[in-house]
Amino acid sequence: METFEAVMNSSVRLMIPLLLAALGELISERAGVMNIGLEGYMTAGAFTAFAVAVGGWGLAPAILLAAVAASLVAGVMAIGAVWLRGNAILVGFALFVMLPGLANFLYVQQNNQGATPKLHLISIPGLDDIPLIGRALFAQNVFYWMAIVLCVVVYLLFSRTQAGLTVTATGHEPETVRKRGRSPRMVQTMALLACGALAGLGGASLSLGAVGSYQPNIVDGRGLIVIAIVILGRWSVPGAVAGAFLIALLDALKLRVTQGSDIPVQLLGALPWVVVILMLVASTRMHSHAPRTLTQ
Amino acid sequence: MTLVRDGVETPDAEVPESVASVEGPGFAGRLLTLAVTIGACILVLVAVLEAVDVDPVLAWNSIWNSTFGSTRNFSETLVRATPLLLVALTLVPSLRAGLYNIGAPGQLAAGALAATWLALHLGGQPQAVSLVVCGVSAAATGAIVAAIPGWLKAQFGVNEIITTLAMNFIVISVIGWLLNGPFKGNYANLPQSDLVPDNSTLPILIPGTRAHYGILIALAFVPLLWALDRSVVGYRLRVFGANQQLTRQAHISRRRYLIGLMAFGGVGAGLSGWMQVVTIDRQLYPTVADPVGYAGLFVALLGGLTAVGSVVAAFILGALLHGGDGLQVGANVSPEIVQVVLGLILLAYAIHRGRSATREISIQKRRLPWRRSKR
Repeated sequence: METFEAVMNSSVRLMIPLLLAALGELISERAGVMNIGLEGYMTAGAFTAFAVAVGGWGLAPAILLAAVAASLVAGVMAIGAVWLRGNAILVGFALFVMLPGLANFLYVQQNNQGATPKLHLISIPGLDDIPLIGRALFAQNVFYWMAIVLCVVVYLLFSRTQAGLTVTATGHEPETVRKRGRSPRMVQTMALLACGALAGLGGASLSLGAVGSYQPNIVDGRGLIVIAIVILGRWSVPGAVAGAFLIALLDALKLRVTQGSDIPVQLLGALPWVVVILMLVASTRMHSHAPRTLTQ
Repeated sequence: MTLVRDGVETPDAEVPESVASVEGPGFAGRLLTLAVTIGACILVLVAVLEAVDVDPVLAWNSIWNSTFGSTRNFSETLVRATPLLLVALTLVPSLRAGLYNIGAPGQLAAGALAATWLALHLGGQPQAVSLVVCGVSAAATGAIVAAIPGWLKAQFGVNEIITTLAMNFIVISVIGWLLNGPFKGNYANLPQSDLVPDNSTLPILIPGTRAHYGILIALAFVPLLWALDRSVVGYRLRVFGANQQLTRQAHISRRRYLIGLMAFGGVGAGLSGWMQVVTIDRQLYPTVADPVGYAGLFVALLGGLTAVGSVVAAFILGALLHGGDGLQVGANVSPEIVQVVLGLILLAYAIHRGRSATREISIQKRRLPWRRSKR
């Protein structure tokens, strides 16, 4: 039972960056923009949060500026892919290669290896005493609570508001949106900026929350896993939560299993990727809300 | 040129414009694009270097010296350019068809693994036997690793970009495991294989350097691509890339061409892995694919998806990558900056290539049979 509690706890912690970024990718894919560059946004967020926090500006500005920096990167994507009509997949791939390179370059060049201030756990008194799942679900750092709130916000955005409907419509029928007097490009730009901010928060939750510092290639392919999560989650918020939790659970089990047995840790590293491929194969067989303009 | 199949003849005049447009701008236009792109990237690069207080002139001098400063440095540029050229040339056909195979690191590592295993077991054989067996099986292994995403796309319509990337991580994990277990060398407690025997190495091209005959193997793909362009298969490939509706009408198997194109893309990466292991490093290690990474794809794109363009681009990027190592020594700039340059190049290309590529992909999607049946 102690094992279960520990696995739950680390799964939820590992889920936070994935979930935040998945919410962002969800918005941009709903608007019809495939975002391979998510890895770049997350790296920008992670590095900015680290640089600001180590610079002694405090945690709140660090989190805020991480979102802003990643939004700026998403702005590059918007200019390249939406306004200049570049190939979205290639522009995204360029950011996927460039941003981690830039962040690693600045990190090595500045040679600033401090640790960021520790994040406090925020727990709900009473609920965190629930056996097995109490600590996992009700005693986590600020990013967890942010992710919960943002999940609800994004869910309501798409189910209850005109703005959410416009975003979804842009993904399905941009021509109709244009005839209704709205600019699909503007909608996509806004969706991308929101995606950048969310992915930036996800990156910040890695450097400030999970690691407590920056390290080269900190995002380590999570941006791509998130894209698969969104596809398997059928472009819905509950689906994104479930997908993010599944991948996080695999990660947590990986850490756990290798401690007590002789299953090689390197082979388990391949497991999330095998699952991602299987998820993609499975998702082609399911009915989905796939945005019709999206190049799958 | 006419396409004859099952008694149906399609004269040139009826080929839609989209097929012709795949040819793109002429050779001079492509060279101009290349020059403008490089100029823009150098400008941004200088700005980044200034931002971290590095003298761009000093940086340039150390790149220049470490590229053309001596025969040794020039040969090192050739060493870096060889795998880039191999990967780029074999990727060109699939890129022309709008397939983005970004699994070069995984395919390269798989080829390296096969070559190392065979080289270690062929110690007593003549050099020619060892070379051919290792090379061919490395190419085949790379092709198989690349064919898996191709099959997944043909069978299930899974996006090949994500699956090729996922394959990279899977292959590297498997190699990491092998090098810590059954494959581990006897020298040190490191995840490295044993050194491959002397009879498996490629001969050296420029005496006293590391430049090997691999560059000639890579260049051999240039006439091959030229011939392919003028064959029936090449014509069908252009049809396949431009208009999949036409492909169906002409009874060209989409599935066969999809898997075949992806597999061919893995051949160059597999061969690069073979050369890296048997000639340069002499042993397998987990990060064997890092010196090449995604740069082969950039070379193909920067070369305008042509064979000759790829040769020029491979040499320039090879010089840049080797120069990046020189930067560390000469100007105290960390080599990660090269990754930024690669990203800039791709960004410029993606915006320049514009809508045509996007349109090709959307054509592809609408033609997927199982999607059609669902709606």
